[in-house]
Amino acid sequence: MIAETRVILRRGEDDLPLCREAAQKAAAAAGFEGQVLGDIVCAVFEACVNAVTHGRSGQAATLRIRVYEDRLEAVVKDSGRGLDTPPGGPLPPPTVPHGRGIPLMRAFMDEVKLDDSNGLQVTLVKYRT
Amino acid sequence: MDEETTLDVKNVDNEVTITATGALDLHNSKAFHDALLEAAQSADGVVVDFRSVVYIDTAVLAHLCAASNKMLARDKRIKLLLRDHTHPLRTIQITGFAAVLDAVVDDPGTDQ
Repeated sequence: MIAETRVILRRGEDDLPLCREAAQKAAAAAGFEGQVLGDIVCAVFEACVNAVTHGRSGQAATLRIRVYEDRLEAVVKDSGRGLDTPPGGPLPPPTVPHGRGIPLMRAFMDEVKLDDSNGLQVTLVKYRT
Repeated sequence: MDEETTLDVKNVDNEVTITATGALDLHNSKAFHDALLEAAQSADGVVVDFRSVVYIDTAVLAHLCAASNKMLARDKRIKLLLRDHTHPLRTIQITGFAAVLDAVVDDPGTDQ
């Protein structure tokens, strides 16, 4: 591992800008740029939005970003109820207001792993090309 | 560091233009939501200018969806201005929103 960044979202939604900033800095420092950098920032942000929206009140969600030789890996964890619906669906049509978070993460990242055995842990991976 | 987020709403002869800058998301998009939904209810035309927006999230997409549905029910469509090679354009393209609103893409060198 080359570098690690951690954010604890103690203030919930109010700490979301910290997540974007952390993702931007970590991805840029790792050499990602342009559209790929934007993809990483957006995917990490969406995972953090889900965590503060669906996490348990009073228990801070966390973001950890690790940079390796071959990839960037972001892990977002919350203490909520886990997934309400199966996460494998496609992007909903534009007339449906919700349900885009996980499909967008899948569109932006190379791997998205979900573990709802204890709250929800989302692992996002982008490989270097 | 997040670029400063600003919002400007102009109404000229019931044609509403909502211009945002910076990163627009769940945390800071309530004013955008309120202005957009109000305009979608009754304006003759609605233009959303995202050419200076660097990121949008699914909360903003939900706002666009809700407003677009209101406009479509009145046989109207939102006009969404985007800058080429920006992430909001990429997000709009991936999510298929061009099917329900009129996305207009500027080159980065085009004057507003």
